[in-house]
Amino acid sequence: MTADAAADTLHIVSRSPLATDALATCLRLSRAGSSVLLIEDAVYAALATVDVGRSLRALARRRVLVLGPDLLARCGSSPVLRPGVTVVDDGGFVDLVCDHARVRSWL
Amino acid sequence: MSARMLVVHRRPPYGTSHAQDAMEAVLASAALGVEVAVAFVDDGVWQIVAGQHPGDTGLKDFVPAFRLLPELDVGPIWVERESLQRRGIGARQLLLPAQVIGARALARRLDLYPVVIEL
Amino acid sequence: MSTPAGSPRTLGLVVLSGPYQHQSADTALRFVRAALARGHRVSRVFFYADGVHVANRLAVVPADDRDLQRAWSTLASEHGVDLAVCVAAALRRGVIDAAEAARHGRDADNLAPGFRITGLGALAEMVRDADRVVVLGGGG
Repeated sequence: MTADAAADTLHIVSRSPLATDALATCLRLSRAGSSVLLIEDAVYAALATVDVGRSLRALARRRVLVLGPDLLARCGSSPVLRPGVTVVDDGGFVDLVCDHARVRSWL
Repeated sequence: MSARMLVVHRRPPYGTSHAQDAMEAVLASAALGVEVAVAFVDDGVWQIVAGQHPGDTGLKDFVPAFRLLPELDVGPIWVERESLQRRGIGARQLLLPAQVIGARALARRLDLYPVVIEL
Repeated sequence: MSTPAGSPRTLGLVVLSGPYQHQSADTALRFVRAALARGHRVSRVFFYADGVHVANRLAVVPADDRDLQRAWSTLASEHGVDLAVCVAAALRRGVIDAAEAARHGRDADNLAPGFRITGLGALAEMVRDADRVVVLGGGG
């Protein structure tokens, strides 16, 4: 894996996809194959029923993760997630940060 | 201090303190020897449009400090083309010698920086 | 990556939003606890912009809600995490330690235990020294 491989970048989004352009900009300025972790109000983007518009195609080309405690707080214990979305706990959040060479937040 | 970071500016200049806070962090970090690059994206591009006069609002006129960026060796200074286009801003309206760059190219540049922060 | 996955890392955090108004101070707390539990080192948490309000020891929180200032102070005393509060952001917002209060002729101070007031150099230093920097809050 080369130093600048897209898979080595973790992008963190914390705002609702329907309220701000954080997710759309994250997807526009991240590369296919990178990881996107949805935390706080961004967890709504992980729900299969939420219309994220043009972000849908780009999301399908990223590794999408969602922070479990934030998801449980907002959507309960059996939310219907988009295919391929992985739920991580707080320790998993830390592991993601450590396992990616680069971490960026889109606030 | 050998460190490199890129600061992304995504907020407009006056409604919140984000732009001013980010700019202060950029100037201080550069003065302390950090190699700082900046990128203006989304509403952040409004920060560097020439002809701002905040005087009547009572807000601090912090934008002229942007002109210090080249003097402090801050660079490259990128502005995302798509953000400019969406707002109808031409490159000639910018108060800084910034490089206009497309989203795909900017995404590749961002991944060359170990630390990218938005403030 | 220079170190194999799973090895201890040095992590730095930036908290940009005020407590209660925004979740970022809670998220940061959970992240730091989880990182320490996994054996990583958290070199510094840098509080900037409205994030500095976390350091106000005069905050009074209803008994049925979490006390963020106290939680952070406890984290500092139990784990030695460096809680660095940006001086420019803090003084503007009335978060002040005894030394700055004396210097600026204020009649009180309110910096909570475990926090220290410092310059933006602490951010630059963290960017240099940490393996990863995570920024939380801001936006909106």
